[in-house]
Amino acid sequence: MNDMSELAIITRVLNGDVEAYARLVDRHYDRCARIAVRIVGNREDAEEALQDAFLRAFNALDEYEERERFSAWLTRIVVNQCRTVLARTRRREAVFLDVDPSALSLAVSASEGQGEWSDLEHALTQLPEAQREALVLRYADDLTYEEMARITGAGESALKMRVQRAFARLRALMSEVAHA
Amino acid sequence: MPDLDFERRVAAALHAPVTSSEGARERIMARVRQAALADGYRRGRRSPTARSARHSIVGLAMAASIGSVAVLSAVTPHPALDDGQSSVIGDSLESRLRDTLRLMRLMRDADHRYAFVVDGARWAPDPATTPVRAGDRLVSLLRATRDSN
Repeated sequence: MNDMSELAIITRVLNGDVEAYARLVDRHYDRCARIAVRIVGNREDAEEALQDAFLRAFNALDEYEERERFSAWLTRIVVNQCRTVLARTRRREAVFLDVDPSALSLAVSASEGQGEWSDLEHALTQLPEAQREALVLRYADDLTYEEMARITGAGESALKMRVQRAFARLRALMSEVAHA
Repeated sequence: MPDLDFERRVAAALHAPVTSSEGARERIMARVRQAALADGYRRGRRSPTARSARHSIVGLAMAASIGSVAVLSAVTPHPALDDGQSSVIGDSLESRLRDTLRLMRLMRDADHRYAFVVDGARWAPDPATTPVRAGDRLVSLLRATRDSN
């Protein structure tokens, strides 16, 4: 089944072959994981978003229309789930606002890499969500602004502006780190 | 515009693969199997080349465009729609998300029942109404009104 087209796999799934869906998961997991981790900022939340996204995609597979690239369709679901996870995280943070952090033993999540990448990863988490999302879709998934607009629902010019601002903010943050 | 070198560095960093926890993909498939089981996964759902049958009441009302009329539509697909006894009441293009258009056709069959046919291929009941029992079958009640614009 490795050589099967995505359309053929989707047709198999829609015909009741649930296991065929694993092929779609395999083909798209790494790319979606890259997007999700960069958007939500940590692996645990990203995996939660990915689980929900792939499940939603499975449940909605009969709504997929051939005219759209499957990867773009799936990416839209992933991005929406990332937004949901981020919103949930914000609510979680709100709930626990009265907890004294110094009273907790907080484990710093292991960073995948050292040095500049580590700094950049940290700087990414400091960006406003909309800017981070735009930057990730543009550079982690090589999407065009037109594709990004279809996925995010934002206008192309707004997305270009977000990316531009994201770069400016990243530069400033990285510069602060370099001079610290 | 961002400096090209900085842009390249950021792009390379964002492109770097991320590691997933062990069994992450298998956990996804476990949830998929569970959902499929719970849903009594139905075979032969449809081809991705066809279009979905979702529609809005607004679209249905536009499709009807026949003045104020109360319509009974059967909740289960009706085989009589293609038997030559059906008549077309009205057609309409319904705009959907993602800039897709859908041809909605309101039809009346020989048994005083009404149905909506999507893109000439799929029959659709009115999803927004509560089905009620009428004799030996379930029906849903839909009010279609003339678009005053």
